[in-house]
Amino acid sequence: MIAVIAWATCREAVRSRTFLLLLAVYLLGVLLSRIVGWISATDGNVITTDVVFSLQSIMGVLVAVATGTALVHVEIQQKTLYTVLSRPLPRWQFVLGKYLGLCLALAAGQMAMLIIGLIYLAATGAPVHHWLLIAGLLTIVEVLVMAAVSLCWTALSSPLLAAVLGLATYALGHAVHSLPGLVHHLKGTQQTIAIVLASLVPDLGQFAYRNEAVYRTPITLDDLLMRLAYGGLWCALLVVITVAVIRRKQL
Amino acid sequence: MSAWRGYGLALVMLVGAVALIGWNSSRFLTAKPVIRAKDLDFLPAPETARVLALGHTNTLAKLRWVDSFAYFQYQLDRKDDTVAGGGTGFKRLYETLIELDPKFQPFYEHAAMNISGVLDQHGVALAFLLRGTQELPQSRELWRNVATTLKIFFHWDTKQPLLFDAFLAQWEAAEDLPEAKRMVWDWKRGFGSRAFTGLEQLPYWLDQLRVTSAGTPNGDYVEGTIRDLLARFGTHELNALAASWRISRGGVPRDRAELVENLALLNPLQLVVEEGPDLASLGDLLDPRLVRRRYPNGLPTYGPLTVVDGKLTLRSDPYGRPWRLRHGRVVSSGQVHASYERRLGRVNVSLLELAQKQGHWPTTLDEAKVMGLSLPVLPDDGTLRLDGRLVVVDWAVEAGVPWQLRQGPN
Repeated sequence: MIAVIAWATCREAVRSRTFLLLLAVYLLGVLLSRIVGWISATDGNVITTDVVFSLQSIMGVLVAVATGTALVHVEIQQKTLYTVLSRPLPRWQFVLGKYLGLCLALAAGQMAMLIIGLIYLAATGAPVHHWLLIAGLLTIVEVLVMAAVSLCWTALSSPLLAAVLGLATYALGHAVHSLPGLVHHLKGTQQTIAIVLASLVPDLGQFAYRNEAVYRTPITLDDLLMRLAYGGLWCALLVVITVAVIRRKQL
Repeated sequence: MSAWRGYGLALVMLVGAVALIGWNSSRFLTAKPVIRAKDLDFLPAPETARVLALGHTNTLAKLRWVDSFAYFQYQLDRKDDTVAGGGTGFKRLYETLIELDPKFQPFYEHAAMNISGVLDQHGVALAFLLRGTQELPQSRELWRNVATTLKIFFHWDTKQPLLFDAFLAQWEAAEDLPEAKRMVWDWKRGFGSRAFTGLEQLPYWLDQLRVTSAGTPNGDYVEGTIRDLLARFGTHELNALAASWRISRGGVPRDRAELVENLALLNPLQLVVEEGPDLASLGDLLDPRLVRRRYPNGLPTYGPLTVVDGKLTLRSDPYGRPWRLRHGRVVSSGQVHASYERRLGRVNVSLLELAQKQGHWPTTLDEAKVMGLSLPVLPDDGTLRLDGRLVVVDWAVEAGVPWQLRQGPN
């Protein structure tokens, strides 16, 4: 049953206007990225690569937040949720199916962006190497974590608020990555509170390997697996929280 | 009725769109070129910038960098680098950019160029370059930039030779390729132990030569620049030797520099020769005593003199043509020819303009002159002729083999 819901969700997400529109914006952004390279005082390859990979992350996160926050809400609004839940289907299976479907759609979109980006880079003469592929894959994990964040916020609040909170979590998630180097400015209790609060937010900087990959800075297999596991754990935790909230919700 | 309403709506939309596009494009059509200059209106501290970058540190750094190009123009006009909140603009800008993307080499190069070149703050520029060598120890360009800064602005080759040697040894250690290490040895030979006026730019151009291919417009340009640089250096050296030769034979120093350089050669008991003595031939310059005095540590690698079979020899000039004596001064005939050929390029553009204006091409050079073509004064070993639609020059003596720059000096 989870697979059925996941597949239906995936098809629905891929067909949604938001999804296709943001993919089109990505495409336009990628085409324009070379201009930034041209107006810089360099050969432009590094700059174009940076912009292409940033676009993949930003567009991916926007798609994740826009689609993730609307996922359950649309089902409630269109009353299709009641049809599904009237069947002998536990709510956790529904939530998990929805999330996996969303992940499938996002991963497909992200792969499309990655392939388009790499082809464009190769076509414009920028060096393409396997470290960029790994950076792209880690960006996909970042987007999947953000999808879980959005889903969780939707369960806890309204779709609009969830979208705002989702984007705020994205900002915080990257900001906390720099915090270990800055926390020494605080003392005593302030420092403890900062560390505790920062630890509650997913550290999205773990997936920003794109900044190093551009310079072919290698990533070890252990490091890569740790980052993937970190992303997987956050996704699992956030889905479990969502399930717990949805189970208690009066629908 | 509803169809007509639909057409009307479409027409209104079309008119509106055309009007707005016209309005927008008119701004571009009537625009006059403007040199953009701006101050650094928003520049967070490096740590804050990293937090604000939301994981896109590289992209943000580059976009901020591109946006800051106009600040360069602002500095060219103003040359006051102080920014609101204290500190200096370029320093704060590049500190932030480098914090965001420490592996991007152009940040260090531009920081040094702007801070040193525009504001003359060579110490700050050096600090950025040294940080660059730490972040990118494999970057040859940054090491070379540091070496050049230490040489040109801090005169380490003369004031701190031991420290300069230590720095060059550090650079050599950072290089992993044998040919790159050899290049540092060249620096040690050329800069570490002594200084040759006029060749400061040579390492830069040799580096440019490595990244260009022979026979391409870029490659030819770089080769031409190097030959010009070497010809200037050779001319300077041979004229300095000629001055020493003249003064050692009772001639009067022509200027203060000649006097200072050859003070030890002045013989108070020798009769002063007011005019001359003049060199009979360039072979007179191969006086081992004078050469040894000028180059106590050995002949410069890219200099005009060399030793062949144990005998001091004058090489051809870098263009493969002979050095010549003209009115008591040594000149590089290759350089004179190259310079003249460059001027002929402009002459041919004028010829094209004249032909377009008058509606026909001249058939002879005299006819071209009658049409109004003015020709630069020809060196005495050249002959001009009209080859089709181009004015070309033939030189009396065929050029020999030019110095092989791409395989090191011959």
